[in-house]
Amino acid sequence: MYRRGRAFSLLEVLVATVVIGLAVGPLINVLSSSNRVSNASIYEVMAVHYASELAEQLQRLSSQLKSMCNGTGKTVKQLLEDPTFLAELGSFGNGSLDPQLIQIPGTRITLFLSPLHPRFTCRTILVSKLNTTTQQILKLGTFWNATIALSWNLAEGEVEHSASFSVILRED
Amino acid sequence: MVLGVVILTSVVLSIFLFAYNRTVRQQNIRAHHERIAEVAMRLALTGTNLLAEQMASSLDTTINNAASCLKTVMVAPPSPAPAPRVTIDSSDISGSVMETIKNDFDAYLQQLSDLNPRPRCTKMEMAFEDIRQTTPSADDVQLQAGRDPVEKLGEMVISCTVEFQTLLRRASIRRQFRVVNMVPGIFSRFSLFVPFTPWYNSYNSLGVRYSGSIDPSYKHPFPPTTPLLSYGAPLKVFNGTETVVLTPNPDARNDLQNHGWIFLGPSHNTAATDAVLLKIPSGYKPDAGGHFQVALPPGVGNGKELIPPENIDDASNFNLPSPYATAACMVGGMYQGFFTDELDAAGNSINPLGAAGQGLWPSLTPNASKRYECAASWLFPFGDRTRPSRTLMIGPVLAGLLKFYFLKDMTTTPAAWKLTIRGKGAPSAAVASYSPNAQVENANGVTPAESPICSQLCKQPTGGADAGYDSYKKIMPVDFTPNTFSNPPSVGISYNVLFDFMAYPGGSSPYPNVNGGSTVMQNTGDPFYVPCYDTINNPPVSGTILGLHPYDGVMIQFQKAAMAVDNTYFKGDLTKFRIANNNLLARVTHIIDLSSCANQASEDAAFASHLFRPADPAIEPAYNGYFKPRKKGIFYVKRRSGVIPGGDKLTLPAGSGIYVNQNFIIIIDKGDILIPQKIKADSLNNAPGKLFSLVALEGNIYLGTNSEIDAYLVALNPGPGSLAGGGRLLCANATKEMNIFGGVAAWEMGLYETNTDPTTMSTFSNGGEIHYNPRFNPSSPLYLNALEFIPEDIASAIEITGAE
Repeated sequence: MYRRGRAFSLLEVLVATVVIGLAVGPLINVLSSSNRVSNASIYEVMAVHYASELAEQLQRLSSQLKSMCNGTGKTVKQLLEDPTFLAELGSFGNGSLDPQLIQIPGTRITLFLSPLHPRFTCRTILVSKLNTTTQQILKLGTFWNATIALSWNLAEGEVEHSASFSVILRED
Repeated sequence: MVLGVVILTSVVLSIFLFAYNRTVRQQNIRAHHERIAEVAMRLALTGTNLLAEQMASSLDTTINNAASCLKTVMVAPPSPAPAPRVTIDSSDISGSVMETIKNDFDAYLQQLSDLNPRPRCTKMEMAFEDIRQTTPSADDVQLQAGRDPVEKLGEMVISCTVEFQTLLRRASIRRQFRVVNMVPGIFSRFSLFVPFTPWYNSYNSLGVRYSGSIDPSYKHPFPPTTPLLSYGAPLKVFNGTETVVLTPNPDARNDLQNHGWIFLGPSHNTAATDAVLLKIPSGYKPDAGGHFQVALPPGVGNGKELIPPENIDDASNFNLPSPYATAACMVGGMYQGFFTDELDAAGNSINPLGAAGQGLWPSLTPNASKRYECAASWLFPFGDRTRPSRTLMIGPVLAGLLKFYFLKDMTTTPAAWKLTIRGKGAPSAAVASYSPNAQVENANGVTPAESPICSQLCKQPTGGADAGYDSYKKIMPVDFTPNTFSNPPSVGISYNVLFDFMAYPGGSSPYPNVNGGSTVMQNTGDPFYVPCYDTINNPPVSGTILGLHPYDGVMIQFQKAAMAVDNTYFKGDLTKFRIANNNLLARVTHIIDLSSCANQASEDAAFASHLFRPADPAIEPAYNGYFKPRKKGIFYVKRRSGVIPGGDKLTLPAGSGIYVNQNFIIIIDKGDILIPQKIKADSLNNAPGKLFSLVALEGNIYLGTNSEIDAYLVALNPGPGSLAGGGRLLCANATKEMNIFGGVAAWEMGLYETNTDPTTMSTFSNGGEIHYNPRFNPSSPLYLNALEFIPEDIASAIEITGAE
């Protein structure tokens, strides 16, 4: 007598398919979400490094700000917000990973910066003068707030993320 | 079963994905933290940098108060005890300062509108660690070698804590620091420090008329240059910020403690210990001005007298002849300075041979070829007639004066002058009558053809023809007037005794006691402040040349009263004092290496850009066009190889001048340096408030301007006889005069007898003025203010940590 072997019933397959469908769908969503969060973290860390290298060099410029201003006839704000300078600052370095040498126009000062990742949409500096009227001791010279702003998005058309960092510069 | 497998797989996958998701979220949080931490860290670092810069510029008072050991001598800690650590925070006496700084920085943070919520500064702190003296001991040997025992080094730790979005970051930077003295050396105790004098007559080159005005007709024959040198004005030295006022009870001790002293090293005409002669010039004419008045000449009622007519009461050596045997009279002496010409009322020369032409002084032969014997000192260490200035002269310096004598009849009112020099040699000889037109005999009883007539010197005594006095020679104390024909002059009066340190005993007489010296000086117990009269008049070493000898163990004490722990003093031979690499390098805070420069132009440019920057017209409108120092410190400049004295000159930046807004010293390792323009500091209490010293280690300093130079100029490299050694202050301006407010230390200054190389005297033929800036005085209470705290420019370590 022929003995039929045990097989998957259609029902089982259907149930399994439903179970897999119910389980994998959210999991894929979670995976996708995690990937995006992970990318966001990576870009945020990259932003920190971009800001850090720029902030460090700006801080070192403090002692030379006065002579730079005297030499160019510009204020610190005009120097650091120069359109040419900012355009270079926000460029992607022609796709190369080599560091960019960006000169502050009218001076011999060159900044040594990493090229921006293509996902970054902005690297800029905003300079504002700080008020010294309430200070009693730390008020010799002119004080500037240099805000380093960076923006990026995770994919084309996605919401833009941004981060700001501040450095206080003393011009004397 | 299939379902089981699927479900199990799904569960495993879920676990994996949720774990991954968790990791990703942690990574995300960490990234976010990193961003917050970066902001906080960067701001904390900014805070430390701002505090460090502030410390370098304006926290001296805080440092003095909270870390006073930095500016005092401390006993070296016995090994292995740790070096002291001083912390200044909110618990310290200067905590209020740190609290204020913290609030100041916090106020800046509250203006950072891009950061929400605003970051906060929670703490500022600074500490000094591993404080050590640069000099191992505080004895005079170290000081003699140019090391200041107060100078120190150590490490400064500055911390700032910033809180941002509940995250705290504490940035600490460590910078090495030095506490250095902006008083360049012990020689700055002196307004004028000149260890080497070529010959005893080096400084006597000025032609002066009997009236006190400059004699332009006089050509000095030494050195035998073509054309011969002609001097238009003297070099006047003012040793304090005030001129001496004749008050009844002047404080001579304090005056001399606070004034700059003058050191003229012994002359080298035969030996290294010979005397130096300063011939005091004639001068009393009020409108001529500028000259020192040593006696009131007949017929001139105004002008200041610093040496009175001398009253002589010496019955053992001479007796008054009849009719004075019974008459009330006194013998007097009168000092007369050197002069080279004499004019009549119409301005015509009546005595072109000067003092020699008078024939009154046997040592001055009426001989046109020896007219130089009547030349007066180009160097006026006493200021001038209207602004006399006290000083202590160190060195075997003899004052040269001429002197003649007279009788004063006390029987008339007012007392009348009587001629005393008409008599003949022997006491028994007949006494001649006063004859207005008779020529005056000199001390040898000879009447030279050029000698003046009696009426030029004396009034006719009351009562007509009176007898003179025949013991003229006996009462001539020749040792009061150095014999200029003795080479070197072995007798004379030491400069300080003659001028009594410019001290006036007060009371009824405004005059010093010429014979006895100052009582104040004689009784002083602090020889390093004011050497007493005996020390000067009886030099223990030479025995023959009077004066305070540089090798007699001159002592200069630092801050005996003001700084109890600091009893260090300079003690030693000033002529052997050297400022050189081996005792300067330990003090240097910055080295500027110009050795790679290709030529002088690039060297000048690098020198200017490294050390100076333009003054800010918005902040310093009075100094528009000036340069000012970038920072305070002691800068050692290494010039390019091959530069020698007499060669390329390193030039200070010109512009409108240099504005000294902070203390600094520039030391040039070799070659000459040129000062092209004025050097100006803001005046504080009548003297430049900031100290600038310029040192040419192995070169000369050229002065290209007669504008005010607020600096102490140092060129002490020994180089007698040739430019090759440097050690000179030379003129590079057409006016041939100097105007220095600080002091000068140069190896040599005086004229040579034969060597025609340029010297200070030969190039500055129109003299000028040196004003001492008492802030350079290491014995002054202001000495502490010259100590500067100099932190290293770049931090040696930066530490970022979390904070509580």
